[in-house]
Amino acid sequence: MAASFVSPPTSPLVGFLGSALLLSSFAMLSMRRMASLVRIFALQGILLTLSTLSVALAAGEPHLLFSALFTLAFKVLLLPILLFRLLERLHIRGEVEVLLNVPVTMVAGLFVVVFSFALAAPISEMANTVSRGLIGVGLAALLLSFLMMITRRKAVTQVLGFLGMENALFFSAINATYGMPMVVELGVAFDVLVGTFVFGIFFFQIRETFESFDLKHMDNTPTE
Amino acid sequence: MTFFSSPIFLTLVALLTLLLTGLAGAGVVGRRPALASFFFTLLSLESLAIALSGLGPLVATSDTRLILPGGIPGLSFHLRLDPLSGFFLLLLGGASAGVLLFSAGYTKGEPPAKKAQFLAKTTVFLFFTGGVFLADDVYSFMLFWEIMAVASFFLILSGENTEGVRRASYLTLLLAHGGSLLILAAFALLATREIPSASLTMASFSFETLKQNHLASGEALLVSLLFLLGFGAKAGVVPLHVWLPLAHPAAPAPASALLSGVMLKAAIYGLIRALFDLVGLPQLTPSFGILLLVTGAFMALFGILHAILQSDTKTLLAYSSIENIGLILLGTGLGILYLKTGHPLAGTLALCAALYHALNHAFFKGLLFLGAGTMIHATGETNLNRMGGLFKKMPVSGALVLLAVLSISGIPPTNGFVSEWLLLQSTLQARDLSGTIQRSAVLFGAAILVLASALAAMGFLKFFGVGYLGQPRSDGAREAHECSLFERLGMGGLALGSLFLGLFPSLVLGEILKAVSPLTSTTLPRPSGAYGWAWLLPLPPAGPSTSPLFLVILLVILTLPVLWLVLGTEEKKRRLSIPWGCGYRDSSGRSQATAESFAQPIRHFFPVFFSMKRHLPSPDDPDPVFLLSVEDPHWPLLYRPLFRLFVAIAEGAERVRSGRISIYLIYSFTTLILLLSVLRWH
Repeated sequence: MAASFVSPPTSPLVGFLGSALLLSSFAMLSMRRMASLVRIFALQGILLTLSTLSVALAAGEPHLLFSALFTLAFKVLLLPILLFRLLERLHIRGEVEVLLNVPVTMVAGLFVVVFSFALAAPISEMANTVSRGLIGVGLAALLLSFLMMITRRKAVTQVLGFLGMENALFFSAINATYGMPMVVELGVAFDVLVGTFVFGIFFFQIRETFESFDLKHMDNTPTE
Repeated sequence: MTFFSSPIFLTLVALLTLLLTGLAGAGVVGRRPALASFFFTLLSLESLAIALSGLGPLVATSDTRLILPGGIPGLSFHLRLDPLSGFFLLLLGGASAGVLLFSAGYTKGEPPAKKAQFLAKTTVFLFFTGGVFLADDVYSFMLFWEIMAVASFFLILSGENTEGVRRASYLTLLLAHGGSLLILAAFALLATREIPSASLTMASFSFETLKQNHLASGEALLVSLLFLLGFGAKAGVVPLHVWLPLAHPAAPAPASALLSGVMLKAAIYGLIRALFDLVGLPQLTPSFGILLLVTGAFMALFGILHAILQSDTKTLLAYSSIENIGLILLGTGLGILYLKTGHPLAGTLALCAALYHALNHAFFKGLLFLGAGTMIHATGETNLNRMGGLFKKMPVSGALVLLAVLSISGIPPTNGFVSEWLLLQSTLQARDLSGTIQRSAVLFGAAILVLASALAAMGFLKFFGVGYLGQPRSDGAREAHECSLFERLGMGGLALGSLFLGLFPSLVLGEILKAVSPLTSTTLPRPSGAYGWAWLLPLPPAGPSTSPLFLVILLVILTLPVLWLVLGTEEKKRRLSIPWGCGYRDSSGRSQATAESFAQPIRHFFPVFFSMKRHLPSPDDPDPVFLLSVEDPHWPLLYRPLFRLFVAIAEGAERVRSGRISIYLIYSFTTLILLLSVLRWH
């Protein structure tokens, strides 16, 4: 067990970018302001673009250059701009409300990271990519984003958690198999874009109906 | 031949021109509605160009490919124009030319926005259906196929905005998507049989690679069945046909003409392409041929029996489409059976007959749907029981509908006769089959074929008799008027096509043979001699033959003296009385035989095919109510129990529903963690 925690060698740059991504996931968990959350999401996009680029150059996989380009366009430019405009138009400035307080979430996050590294060890051994040591990082980032979706109360935070999960998934795919087939990647990118639009429409609807974004208004607890 | 004069390039140009004209038209017509007729006429001419481009590979028997550098890296569109695609493009172009011309008149009264939408929807639909015929890899095929399905959904929605229309279009979309999933599964099975999935690339999904498959016999059967069900959902194969009788009446007439005439044929194209070209003839079995044959025969009988019972014009036509698709499947199955038992000539003939019928059906059913549209526009009614006496008010369109009615009933010398006669001739080759089961299946098919055509004649006698003859049955029918010039021209175009297909069958068969023989690697001997083109001889040099042209000449020669005798001598003795009067002096239309009464014997003889509820009042009932409802038995026996099962499952699952989003997320989080742990430390 303990031996499997040792990661295979990875190029230092890719390793640095991976750890920065993991750090940014923790930052998302601990962040208390909505606008900073979106900024961290954009930062994650930049990290993703850079790591995809470096994997592409290190492994000589030209199609990953397209992926990097798409990531830049979608996750660094388009989605953050959309989200900022959304925040502005909905006049959301306030604090992130949590169901579980931040320190407890962070501790839970630590366990999640240990779990994902243990989980990723055999996959890393099987993979033959230059950055296989980072599969665990991708899984950890994915579960951390999921954790954020669970522990946050506002609908906008949930969307950011969802987008974070997609980032982590993409990162894992790049490191495990040099990315998904181009069709799948494109499909997912469009799905996320459409998803964000739909969420945007929902936010307006929710506000119209409840004059608040608190998820407790959307709960449908049967009245006895 | 340079690239720019290659048939496939010209075809693409024709299709793109159609699309661009349609979209440009939609933009312009919204602001200048008067231009709608101009655009529809232009589109109709462009459809003819598509038909011509489809004729190209048939005449020259060419087979050209094109790889379009698609927008996505690694995924280019493989296109191919071979004689089979050419044949179906001919069908598409020919049928839609008439329908588009008709639409110029039909949409006259609509608001400009609706006209523009209809222009856009039809051209998008036609463009992508054309794309389906050209696609040469799984990716582009599924892309075109799905857009075609979605376009058909919107075409149906262009009817009135009512609950029924929305339900019909939703059901259509649902079944189309279910079918697409099955088709995709079949393609995936086909592609992964040879190549280990790790080394799958997009190139392994080109049709050229799929043809190299070596399926085990069980797998080949599974793949063929998946294709049959998948394409069958769009072709209206029983029991996946339930959307058809709802969707066709819901759509406006030109849209239903396109759906029935062109889209059902696209499904037939998919099936033939998949079975003969991709799965490949060597992998098919005679038993699959028998399965297709029996399915087709059942569909033919089921479809026409239900058609006879319908009083709604377009529902009647929709059920009759099920019958005709059944006949086409019957021919296809017969073809597979003959080819796999070592009778290539008979098999090729059966497949030719099936394709001939597909082409004929596109023309006469398109014409009938357009005719139904003029009837509905003229009277404001959809039920045959509220029409009647329209022939006097609408002589031109009535005569054109009469031609289609004769044709669909298989009366010589029309095109329906030719293809049904060819189908019958190919069933009669069963004497060469050795297996008892095979031979009796074919002869059973032949019997059903004859029964179905006789019943079709009865059903369309009802359609024409109740709708066009007798006395008007409602105020709407009394004030009916002839349809506009464009509508008559469009219908006339389809009628001309029908006439040509009926009068020169030997020429048409020769062209269809060019599409079929690459699939069966057999060609039929062509009749030689001076007047070979006038005589239809299915299997030269000997055997039965017919000549519709000769029949027409004979018919004219025989009827002229009779006509002269009747008109010349009986004119003076003519007395005026009320038609369908039954000896009563009552002149109201209510005393005529109703649409239901025409169908009563059928209801009586074939009760197993219907799910009927009837209530007969007792003689001393002071407030008597006669009630009869006939339903498609697939609803109470298959679909409703299925729906109830789904609802029951959903209600069972309801118990874990707490109503809190965080709890739901925790559900999926723990499931994920558990599954991952199991995977890691199992």
